[in-house]
Amino acid sequence: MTSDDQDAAAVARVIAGDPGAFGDIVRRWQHRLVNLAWRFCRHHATAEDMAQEAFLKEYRSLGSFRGESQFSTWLTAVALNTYRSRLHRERPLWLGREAPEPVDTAPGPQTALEQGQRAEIVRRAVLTLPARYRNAICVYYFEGRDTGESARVLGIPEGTLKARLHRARELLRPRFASLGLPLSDLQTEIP
Amino acid sequence: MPDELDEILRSEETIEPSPDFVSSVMRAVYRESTELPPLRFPWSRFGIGVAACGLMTGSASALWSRVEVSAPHVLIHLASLNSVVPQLAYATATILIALVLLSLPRLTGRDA
Repeated sequence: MTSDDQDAAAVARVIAGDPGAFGDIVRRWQHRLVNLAWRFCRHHATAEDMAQEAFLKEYRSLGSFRGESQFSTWLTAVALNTYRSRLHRERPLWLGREAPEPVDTAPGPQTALEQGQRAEIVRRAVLTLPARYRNAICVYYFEGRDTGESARVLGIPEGTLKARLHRARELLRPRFASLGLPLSDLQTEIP
Repeated sequence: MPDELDEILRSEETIEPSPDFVSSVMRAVYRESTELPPLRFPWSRFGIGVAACGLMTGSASALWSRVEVSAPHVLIHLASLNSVVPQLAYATATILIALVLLSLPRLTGRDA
């Protein structure tokens, strides 16, 4: 039995009035939804709270799943909408929480710790982008750089997604440069 | 040429959900499934009420303009009802008491 079949069976049972069957869906998809939420808030407890809210929303709207798209796509799209709303409401509270200290960008040997901090600062910089670019970046990398699937999850054409990714990189460029990273690193084209 | 931004975003660390995450979600799901659905605003009744009010207002305006009575005339007619005020009061009181008695089971929390 494939994962899709298992999902379809669980959905049918839930719609037939067995809420316990939703547990199978939660167990199968918890890692994905919690990690997607993590990319938007970078706080473990908040990510789980967001994922729980998304699962509840999916439980309520399970009847609207028509099977026109893959269950994972539908699930991720609903979760993404939930996270967007949550970010819209609470974003100012999250940003800056547990933020790493800025690194010294002076030339010299970099330790693994410094590189880690630098990476974390870049990831947090993504969260400060306007919503459309932030969502594009987060979903694109979450989906393993698959533009087709990312566009479906975001509900936008693939070309629009590529344009947003390009624009997001342009917006990140000055912040990236301020960390002492070469500007040429941002020239890579989106496939 | 290596793309460091691409590398950083691609090599995002993953987190593991807490061991009690599934049970926490399912508790919320069970709570949700046992709760009564929220009451929806009765738009249909609201619409009927608004339409009825509009109809009554229109009818009253039409009648008023057709009968062509002035306000003093109306007051004189109302004054003539003084003689039946006690009977109207009795009738109103009876209706109110009947309504209260009918509502008692609901007010005390017991089915009729």
